[in-house]
Amino acid sequence: MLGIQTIASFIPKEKKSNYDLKEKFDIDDDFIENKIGVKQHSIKNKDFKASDMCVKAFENLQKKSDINISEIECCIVVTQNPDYNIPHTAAIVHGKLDLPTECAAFDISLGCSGYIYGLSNITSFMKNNNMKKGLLFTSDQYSDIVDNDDKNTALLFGDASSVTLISDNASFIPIDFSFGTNGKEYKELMCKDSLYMNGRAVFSFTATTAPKHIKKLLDKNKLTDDDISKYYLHQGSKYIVDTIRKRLKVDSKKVPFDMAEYGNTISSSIPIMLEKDLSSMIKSKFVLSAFGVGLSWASAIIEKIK
Amino acid sequence: MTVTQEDIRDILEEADTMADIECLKNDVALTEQDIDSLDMANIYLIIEEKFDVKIPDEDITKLSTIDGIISYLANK
Repeated sequence: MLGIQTIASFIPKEKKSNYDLKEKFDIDDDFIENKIGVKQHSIKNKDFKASDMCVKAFENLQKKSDINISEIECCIVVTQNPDYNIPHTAAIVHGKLDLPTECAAFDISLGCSGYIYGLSNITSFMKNNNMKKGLLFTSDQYSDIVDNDDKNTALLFGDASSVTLISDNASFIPIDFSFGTNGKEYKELMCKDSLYMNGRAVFSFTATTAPKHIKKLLDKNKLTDDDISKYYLHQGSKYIVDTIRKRLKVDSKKVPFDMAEYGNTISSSIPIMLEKDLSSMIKSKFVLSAFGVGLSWASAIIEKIK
Repeated sequence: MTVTQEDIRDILEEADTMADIECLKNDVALTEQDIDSLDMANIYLIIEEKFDVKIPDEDITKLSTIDGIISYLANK
Protein backbone atom coordinates (compact mmCIF):
# COMPACT_ATOMS: atom_id res chain seq x y z
CA MET A 1 0.00 0.00 0.00
CA LEU A 2 1.21 3.49 -0.79
CA GLY A 3 2.24 5.62 2.15
CA ILE A 4 5.17 7.16 3.99
CA GLN A 5 8.31 5.04 3.93
CA THR A 6 10.67 7.57 5.48
CA ILE A 7 11.22 11.32 5.93
CA ALA A 8 14.26 13.58 6.00
CA SER A 9 14.53 17.30 6.57
CA PHE A 10 16.94 20.18 6.30
CA ILE A 11 17.12 22.95 8.88
CA PRO A 12 19.86 25.52 8.19
CA LYS A 13 22.51 25.72 10.90
CA GLU A 14 22.46 29.52 11.06
CA LYS A 15 19.99 30.77 13.65
CA LYS A 16 18.73 34.18 14.71
CA SER A 17 18.07 34.47 18.44
CA ASN A 18 14.84 36.05 19.63
CA TYR A 19 16.52 36.94 22.93
CA ASP A 20 18.55 39.50 20.94
CA LEU A 21 15.27 41.10 19.84
CA LYS A 22 13.77 41.56 23.32
CA GLU A 23 14.47 45.28 23.51
CA LYS A 24 13.51 45.99 19.91
CA PHE A 25 10.08 44.38 20.29
CA ASP A 26 9.55 45.03 24.03
CA ILE A 27 9.15 41.34 24.91
CA ASP A 28 10.42 39.20 27.77
CA ASP A 29 11.67 35.63 28.23
CA ASP A 30 8.18 34.40 29.13
CA PHE A 31 6.78 35.70 25.86
CA ILE A 32 9.61 34.06 23.90
CA GLU A 33 9.49 30.70 25.67
CA ASN A 34 5.85 30.24 26.62
CA LYS A 35 3.87 32.30 24.13
CA ILE A 36 5.46 32.23 20.69
CA GLY A 37 7.68 29.37 21.87
CA VAL A 38 10.51 30.24 19.49
CA LYS A 39 13.91 30.87 21.08
CA GLN A 40 15.67 31.09 17.74
CA HIS A 41 14.68 30.70 14.12
CA SER A 42 16.65 29.17 11.29
CA ILE A 43 18.02 31.32 8.49
CA LYS A 44 19.11 29.88 5.17
CA ASN A 45 22.20 30.76 3.21
CA LYS A 46 21.39 34.07 1.49
CA ASP A 47 21.76 32.59 -2.00
CA PHE A 48 19.68 29.47 -1.32
CA LYS A 49 16.40 29.05 -3.14
CA ALA A 50 13.59 26.56 -2.57
CA SER A 51 15.16 23.98 -4.89
CA ASP A 52 18.53 24.19 -3.05
CA MET A 53 16.72 23.51 0.22
CA CYS A 54 14.98 20.50 -1.37
CA VAL A 55 18.32 19.12 -2.55
CA LYS A 56 19.72 19.45 0.99
CA ALA A 57 16.75 17.52 2.40
CA PHE A 58 17.22 14.86 -0.26
CA GLU A 59 20.92 14.52 0.64
CA ASN A 60 19.82 13.86 4.22
CA LEU A 61 17.34 11.26 2.95
CA GLN A 62 20.13 9.48 1.09
CA LYS A 63 22.14 9.30 4.32
CA LYS A 64 19.42 7.33 6.07
CA SER A 65 17.89 5.32 3.25
CA ASP A 66 19.04 3.57 0.09
CA ILE A 67 17.39 5.53 -2.68
CA ASN A 68 17.60 4.36 -6.26
CA ILE A 69 17.05 7.58 -8.19
CA SER A 70 16.11 5.67 -11.35
CA GLU A 71 13.03 4.31 -9.52
CA ILE A 72 11.53 7.72 -8.66
CA GLU A 73 8.37 8.23 -10.71
CA CYS A 74 6.93 11.35 -9.11
CA CYS A 75 8.38 14.56 -7.61
CA ILE A 76 6.13 17.13 -5.97
CA VAL A 77 7.32 20.36 -4.33
CA VAL A 78 5.06 22.20 -1.91
CA THR A 79 6.19 25.82 -1.75
CA GLN A 80 4.95 29.40 -1.92
CA ASN A 81 8.45 30.73 -2.37
CA PRO A 82 9.38 29.10 -5.69
CA ASP A 83 12.77 29.69 -7.28
CA TYR A 84 11.02 31.52 -10.13
CA ASN A 85 7.46 32.20 -11.28
CA ILE A 86 8.28 30.08 -14.31
CA PRO A 87 9.21 27.22 -14.32
CA HIS A 88 7.84 25.18 -11.44
CA THR A 89 10.40 24.43 -8.73
CA ALA A 90 9.76 20.68 -9.00
CA ALA A 91 11.29 20.75 -12.48
CA ILE A 92 14.42 22.43 -11.12
CA VAL A 93 14.65 19.87 -8.30
CA HIS A 94 14.11 17.12 -10.88
CA GLY A 95 17.07 18.41 -12.84
CA LYS A 96 19.34 18.93 -9.84
CA LEU A 97 18.67 15.39 -8.56
CA ASP A 98 19.00 13.90 -12.05
CA LEU A 99 15.65 12.17 -11.75
CA PRO A 100 14.45 10.01 -14.68
CA THR A 101 12.77 11.69 -17.66
CA GLU A 102 9.74 9.44 -17.05
CA CYS A 103 9.28 11.08 -13.61
CA ALA A 104 6.26 13.40 -13.21
CA ALA A 105 7.12 16.71 -11.51
CA PHE A 106 4.85 19.53 -10.36
CA ASP A 107 4.41 22.10 -7.60
CA ILE A 108 1.64 22.62 -5.10
CA SER A 109 1.20 26.22 -3.97
CA LEU A 110 0.12 26.04 -0.36
CA GLY A 111 1.45 27.28 2.96
CA CYS A 112 1.07 25.66 6.36
CA SER A 113 -1.56 23.11 5.27
CA GLY A 114 0.63 22.08 2.34
CA TYR A 115 2.17 18.88 3.69
CA ILE A 116 -1.20 17.23 4.29
CA TYR A 117 -2.55 18.37 0.92
CA GLY A 118 0.70 17.13 -0.62
CA LEU A 119 0.43 13.75 1.06
CA SER A 120 -3.10 13.26 -0.27
CA ASN A 121 -2.11 14.48 -3.74
CA ILE A 122 0.96 12.34 -4.14
CA THR A 123 -0.61 9.12 -2.88
CA SER A 124 -3.70 9.62 -5.06
CA PHE A 125 -1.65 10.60 -8.12
CA MET A 126 0.72 7.67 -7.72
CA LYS A 127 -2.10 5.20 -7.12
CA ASN A 128 -4.04 6.38 -10.19
CA ASN A 129 -0.94 6.14 -12.35
CA ASN A 130 0.35 2.87 -10.92
CA MET A 131 3.54 4.41 -9.55
CA LYS A 132 5.58 2.81 -6.78
CA LYS A 133 8.05 5.45 -5.60
CA GLY A 134 7.75 9.21 -5.31
CA LEU A 135 9.18 12.20 -3.46
CA LEU A 136 7.11 14.83 -1.66
CA PHE A 137 9.14 17.95 -0.87
CA THR A 138 8.19 20.93 1.30
CA SER A 139 10.35 24.04 1.15
CA ASP A 140 9.81 27.63 2.20
CA GLN A 141 12.22 30.45 2.93
CA TYR A 142 10.32 33.12 4.79
CA SER A 143 13.57 34.91 5.64
CA ASP A 144 13.33 36.30 2.10
CA ILE A 145 9.87 37.84 2.67
CA VAL A 146 9.66 38.70 6.39
CA ASP A 147 9.86 42.37 7.39
CA ASN A 148 12.43 42.31 10.21
CA ASP A 149 10.70 45.26 11.87
CA ASP A 150 7.31 43.53 12.05
CA LYS A 151 6.82 41.99 15.50
CA ASN A 152 3.99 39.75 14.24
CA THR A 153 6.25 37.83 11.89
CA ALA A 154 9.92 38.64 12.57
CA LEU A 155 10.09 36.45 15.67
CA LEU A 156 8.22 33.48 14.34
CA PHE A 157 9.27 31.98 11.03
CA GLY A 158 12.23 29.74 10.25
CA ASP A 159 13.59 28.40 6.97
CA ALA A 160 13.47 24.63 6.38
CA SER A 161 12.68 21.90 3.91
CA SER A 162 11.70 18.25 4.01
CA VAL A 163 11.35 15.27 1.74
CA THR A 164 9.02 12.32 2.28
CA LEU A 165 9.66 9.09 0.42
CA ILE A 166 6.31 7.69 -0.67
CA SER A 167 6.42 4.05 -1.68
CA ASP A 168 4.44 0.84 -1.99
CA ASN A 169 6.60 -0.52 0.83
CA ALA A 170 5.34 1.95 3.38
CA SER A 171 4.91 1.62 7.12
CA PHE A 172 2.66 4.66 7.52
CA ILE A 173 -0.60 4.58 5.59
CA PRO A 174 -3.06 7.48 5.27
CA ILE A 175 -6.49 6.36 6.50
CA ASP A 176 -8.47 9.50 5.73
CA PHE A 177 -8.06 13.18 4.87
CA SER A 178 -10.21 16.25 5.32
CA PHE A 179 -9.70 19.73 3.90
CA GLY A 180 -11.12 23.22 4.16
CA THR A 181 -10.75 26.77 2.83
CA ASN A 182 -12.07 30.21 3.74
CA GLY A 183 -10.96 32.27 0.76
CA LYS A 184 -12.87 35.35 1.92
CA GLU A 185 -10.20 35.87 4.57
CA TYR A 186 -7.15 35.50 2.31
CA LYS A 187 -5.91 39.02 3.10
CA GLU A 188 -5.27 38.12 6.76
CA LEU A 189 -2.05 36.31 5.82
CA MET A 190 -0.43 37.28 2.57
CA CYS A 191 2.69 38.57 0.85
CA LYS A 192 2.66 41.47 -1.57
CA ASP A 193 6.04 43.09 -1.02
CA SER A 194 6.65 41.52 2.38
CA LEU A 195 4.77 39.14 4.63
CA TYR A 196 1.68 40.48 6.40
CA MET A 197 -0.17 38.58 9.11
CA ASN A 198 -3.19 39.70 11.12
CA GLY A 199 -2.21 37.73 14.21
CA ARG A 200 -5.59 38.05 15.90
CA ALA A 201 -7.53 36.93 12.82
CA VAL A 202 -5.25 33.95 12.20
CA PHE A 203 -5.38 32.98 15.88
CA SER A 204 -9.19 33.16 16.00
CA PHE A 205 -9.53 31.18 12.77
CA THR A 206 -7.17 28.46 13.96
CA ALA A 207 -8.51 28.20 17.51
CA THR A 208 -12.08 27.84 16.28
CA THR A 209 -11.51 25.76 13.14
CA ALA A 210 -8.76 23.24 13.91
CA PRO A 211 -10.24 21.50 16.99
CA LYS A 212 -13.66 21.08 15.34
CA HIS A 213 -12.06 19.84 12.12
CA ILE A 214 -10.00 17.20 13.93
CA LYS A 215 -12.98 16.08 16.01
CA LYS A 216 -15.18 15.79 12.91
CA LEU A 217 -12.57 13.69 11.11
CA LEU A 218 -12.27 11.36 14.10
CA ASP A 219 -16.07 11.07 14.38
CA LYS A 220 -16.34 10.29 10.67
CA ASN A 221 -13.89 7.42 11.15
CA LYS A 222 -15.60 6.29 14.37
CA LEU A 223 -12.44 7.01 16.36
CA THR A 224 -12.02 8.64 19.75
CA ASP A 225 -9.06 10.17 21.53
CA ASP A 226 -8.32 6.72 23.01
CA ASP A 227 -7.55 5.43 19.49
CA ILE A 228 -5.06 8.21 18.74
CA SER A 229 -1.45 8.02 19.93
CA LYS A 230 -0.44 11.56 18.97
CA TYR A 231 -1.66 14.76 17.37
CA TYR A 232 0.97 16.38 15.15
CA LEU A 233 -0.26 19.95 14.85
CA HIS A 234 1.30 22.55 12.59
CA GLN A 235 3.74 24.47 14.77
CA GLY A 236 2.25 27.93 14.28
CA SER A 237 3.33 29.12 17.72
CA LYS A 238 3.35 27.57 21.18
CA TYR A 239 0.28 29.57 22.11
CA ILE A 240 -1.76 28.25 19.20
CA VAL A 241 -0.61 24.65 19.71
CA ASP A 242 -1.54 24.91 23.41
CA THR A 243 -4.89 26.54 22.57
CA ILE A 244 -5.87 23.80 20.10
CA ARG A 245 -4.80 21.12 22.58
CA LYS A 246 -6.89 22.68 25.37
CA ARG A 247 -9.92 23.02 23.11
CA LEU A 248 -9.50 19.42 21.96
CA LYS A 249 -9.23 18.41 25.63
CA VAL A 250 -6.38 15.97 25.01
CA ASP A 251 -3.34 15.11 27.12
CA SER A 252 -0.36 17.40 26.53
CA LYS A 253 1.86 14.31 26.16
CA LYS A 254 -0.02 13.49 22.96
CA VAL A 255 0.68 16.85 21.35
CA PRO A 256 4.36 17.39 20.49
CA PHE A 257 5.83 20.88 20.56
CA ASP A 258 9.10 21.13 18.70
CA MET A 259 9.67 24.53 17.12
CA ALA A 260 11.65 26.26 19.90
CA GLU A 261 15.04 25.95 18.22
CA TYR A 262 14.10 26.67 14.58
CA GLY A 263 10.69 28.42 14.38
CA ASN A 264 7.53 28.05 12.32
CA THR A 265 8.71 26.29 9.17
CA ILE A 266 5.37 26.43 7.27
CA SER A 267 4.65 23.18 5.42
CA SER A 268 7.82 21.56 6.79
CA SER A 269 6.71 21.74 10.44
CA ILE A 270 4.80 18.43 10.48
CA PRO A 271 7.33 16.33 8.51
CA ILE A 272 10.16 17.67 10.72
CA MET A 273 8.31 16.38 13.80
CA LEU A 274 7.34 13.10 12.13
CA GLU A 275 10.93 12.42 11.07
CA LYS A 276 11.98 12.47 14.73
CA ASP A 277 9.23 10.07 15.83
CA LEU A 278 8.85 7.61 12.94
CA SER A 279 11.53 5.14 14.01
CA SER A 280 10.31 4.88 17.61
CA MET A 281 6.60 4.92 16.89
CA ILE A 282 4.53 1.93 17.96
CA LYS A 283 1.77 0.52 15.75
CA SER A 284 -0.96 3.10 16.15
CA LYS A 285 -3.07 5.75 14.51
CA PHE A 286 -2.07 9.39 14.73
CA VAL A 287 -3.49 12.71 13.56
CA LEU A 288 -1.91 15.44 11.43
CA SER A 289 -3.54 18.85 11.34
CA ALA A 290 -2.40 22.14 9.83
CA PHE A 291 -3.89 25.57 9.17
CA GLY A 292 -2.75 28.87 7.72
CA VAL A 293 -2.40 30.82 4.46
CA GLY A 294 -5.58 30.82 2.38
CA LEU A 295 -7.07 30.60 4.86
CA SER A 296 -6.61 26.88 4.41
CA TRP A 297 -6.68 23.87 6.67
CA ALA A 298 -6.22 20.11 6.41
CA SER A 299 -6.20 17.11 8.72
CA ALA A 300 -5.33 13.46 8.23
CA ILE A 301 -5.36 10.20 10.12
CA ILE A 302 -2.28 8.05 9.51
CA GLU A 303 -1.76 4.48 10.70
CA LYS A 304 1.50 2.69 11.35
CA ILE A 305 0.89 -0.79 10.00
CA LYS A 306 4.29 -2.44 10.45
CA MET B 1 -26.68 43.12 26.90
CA THR B 2 -25.89 43.15 30.60
CA VAL B 3 -22.44 41.85 31.44
CA THR B 4 -20.97 41.95 34.92
CA GLN B 5 -17.43 42.43 36.11
CA GLU B 6 -17.55 38.81 37.32
CA ASP B 7 -18.45 37.61 33.81
CA ILE B 8 -15.36 39.32 32.43
CA ARG B 9 -13.11 38.00 35.19
CA ASP B 10 -14.41 34.48 34.47
CA ILE B 11 -13.41 34.95 30.84
CA LEU B 12 -9.97 36.19 31.88
CA GLU B 13 -9.65 33.09 34.07
CA GLU B 14 -10.70 30.86 31.19
CA ALA B 15 -8.07 32.49 28.95
CA ASP B 16 -5.48 31.05 31.33
CA THR B 17 -3.28 34.13 31.52
CA MET B 18 -0.34 34.65 33.88
CA ALA B 19 -2.16 37.56 35.56
CA ASP B 20 -3.63 37.41 39.07
CA ILE B 21 -7.26 37.88 38.02
CA GLU B 22 -8.52 39.03 41.42
CA CYS B 23 -5.97 41.83 41.53
CA LEU B 24 -6.74 43.25 38.09
CA LYS B 25 -7.86 46.87 38.08
CA ASN B 26 -11.01 47.66 36.11
CA ASP B 27 -9.81 50.93 34.64
CA VAL B 28 -6.23 50.00 33.66
CA ALA B 29 -5.37 48.45 30.31
CA LEU B 30 -5.09 44.68 30.63
CA THR B 31 -1.87 44.77 28.61
CA GLU B 32 -0.37 46.83 31.44
CA GLN B 33 -1.35 44.13 33.96
CA ASP B 34 0.60 41.05 32.81
CA ILE B 35 -1.73 40.18 29.94
CA ASP B 36 0.01 40.18 26.56
CA SER B 37 -1.20 40.53 22.98
CA LEU B 38 -1.66 36.77 22.46
CA ASP B 39 -3.77 36.53 25.63
CA MET B 40 -5.83 39.48 24.40
CA ALA B 41 -6.53 37.71 21.07
CA ASN B 42 -7.75 34.71 23.06
CA ILE B 43 -9.84 36.90 25.39
CA TYR B 44 -11.56 38.60 22.43
CA LEU B 45 -12.27 35.20 20.89
CA ILE B 46 -13.82 33.86 24.11
CA ILE B 47 -15.95 37.02 24.41
CA GLU B 48 -17.11 36.58 20.80
CA GLU B 49 -18.03 32.95 21.41
CA LYS B 50 -19.61 33.47 24.83
CA PHE B 51 -21.75 36.49 23.93
CA ASP B 52 -22.25 35.69 20.24
CA VAL B 53 -20.85 39.03 19.10
CA LYS B 54 -18.33 40.00 16.43
CA ILE B 55 -15.58 42.37 17.52
CA PRO B 56 -14.04 44.07 14.48
CA ASP B 57 -10.33 44.95 14.63
CA GLU B 58 -11.21 48.66 14.59
CA ASP B 59 -13.15 48.28 17.88
CA ILE B 60 -10.30 46.63 19.77
CA THR B 61 -9.09 49.87 21.37
CA LYS B 62 -12.49 50.17 23.09
CA LEU B 63 -11.93 46.86 24.88
CA SER B 64 -8.55 47.46 26.48
CA THR B 65 -9.85 47.53 30.08
CA ILE B 66 -12.41 45.50 32.04
CA ASP B 67 -14.60 48.62 32.23
CA GLY B 68 -14.19 49.10 28.48
CA ILE B 69 -15.27 45.53 27.75
CA ILE B 70 -18.36 45.86 29.98
CA SER B 71 -19.29 49.15 28.37
CA TYR B 72 -18.74 47.81 24.83
CA LEU B 73 -20.91 44.76 25.44
CA ALA B 74 -23.61 46.89 27.12
CA ASN B 75 -24.12 48.61 23.77
CA LYS B 76 -24.57 45.34 21.90
